[in-house]
Amino acid sequence: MVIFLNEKIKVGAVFKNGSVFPKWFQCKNKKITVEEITYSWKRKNGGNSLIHFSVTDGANLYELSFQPESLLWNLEACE
Amino acid sequence: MNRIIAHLDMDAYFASVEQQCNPHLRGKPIAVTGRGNRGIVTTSSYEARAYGVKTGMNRYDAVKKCPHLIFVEANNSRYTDTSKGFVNLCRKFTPVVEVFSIDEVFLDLTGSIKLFGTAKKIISEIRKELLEEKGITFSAGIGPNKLIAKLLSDMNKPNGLTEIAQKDIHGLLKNLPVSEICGIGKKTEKKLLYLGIQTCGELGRADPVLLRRHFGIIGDALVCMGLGKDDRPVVPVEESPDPCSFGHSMTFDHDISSKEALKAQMLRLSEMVGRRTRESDFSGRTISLTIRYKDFTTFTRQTSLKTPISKTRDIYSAANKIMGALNLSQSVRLLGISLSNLIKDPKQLDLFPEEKKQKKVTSTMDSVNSRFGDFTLTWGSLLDLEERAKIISPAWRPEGPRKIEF
Repeated sequence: MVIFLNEKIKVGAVFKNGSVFPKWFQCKNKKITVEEITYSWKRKNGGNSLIHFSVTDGANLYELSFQPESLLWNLEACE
Repeated sequence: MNRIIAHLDMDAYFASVEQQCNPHLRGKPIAVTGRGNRGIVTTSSYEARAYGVKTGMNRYDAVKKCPHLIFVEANNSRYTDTSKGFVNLCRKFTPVVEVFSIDEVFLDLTGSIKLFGTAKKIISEIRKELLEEKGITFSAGIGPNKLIAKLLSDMNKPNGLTEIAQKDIHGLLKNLPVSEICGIGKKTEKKLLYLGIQTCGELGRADPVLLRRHFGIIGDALVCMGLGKDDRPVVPVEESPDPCSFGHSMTFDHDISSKEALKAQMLRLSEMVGRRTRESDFSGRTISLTIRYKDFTTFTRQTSLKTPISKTRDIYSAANKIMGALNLSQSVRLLGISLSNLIKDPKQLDLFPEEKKQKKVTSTMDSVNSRFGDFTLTWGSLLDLEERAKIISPAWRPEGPRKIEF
């Protein structure tokens, strides 16, 4: 079941060749390691561009979003 | 000079994207649906298709076919962004890319062969890159025209490639049922059957005069289809003709019987239509209101105005007039509004202060919504409405007036 969270989170990410790759994030004081980025896509909300990542820690699936303009990360949903 | 046209069709597109996103869905029968319980199957995975689950089925029928079917709610931004990426990838090999739908493109590779080698090589490069980047596949057809390329891409699915030389087209079409040809629907097929025409070979040999008598001006085109002839060019997005109309429709989670409740939905649709019309610098004179009752009876009523409009208030007011004249005999399942009879906005200066004021309000709302997202600044009567899932229209394109952000 998908749970929509929309929470601001801390993320450790690698920026390489103009792309960004989340490596870990903190959710409710727990550090979750990204085992695989299963998909990524861009979305526009008005003038804001957002990059979405579907990631898994091996057990659960999470959707993260990143705003390049503000450098803010959100945990959008978890399944 | 013989043309080299390729048609690329993504395999079970929405379902493949969802299976890539969620590793637990891979190898399982899944169906992508709209939001809510009324959504129909928009795409199903090949695993689900093996059970007979098809596009357009409702949830009940789909589960009857495949009891362990997994329903996945559509995530449109994933599909539109992947489609944009796919089109850009194709543009690395040719500038002549026609977006036929969200998951289908035509490529004119005639001028690309000298640069990149054979058409097969180009397709395999695109395939490799798409698979590496997104993990999804497509099927392709390569032929001398769009008609044949489209036909071939359907022949070897998924992840297949079919190519044919001009000399082999006759043999391919000889015994092929006419329904296999893109552009020949069920009605035309039935009419052709009535004339004793079942295969493309028979269609190609048919008397054009007879076909013209039964089908009008498309009679000649039908003969060409039967012969596998098609001189339509591949039209890149930037050269595609202006749209004929701007329209939006929505299916409600529950049927609505009150006209007041329908009016709020009409206002929302008018804003969606108006925003897109204004963004593309068009105005239109004809407003159409489409209503689908709970028993699926569907009808459209329209009105034409003396002067073209694009402001939300004007569209709503015209639609409201149509609604006012209707006597709804059942509750409503779907409502749609479209604006047609379009002209490029003449940008005529307004004479009266009230008109100027309204234009300023509309343009301010548009600016705020362009910056912060649709419906950020909106009417009070829309505040209580639940946010609706938008359905990707078959007319969606990655650029131009037909582009809609999700």
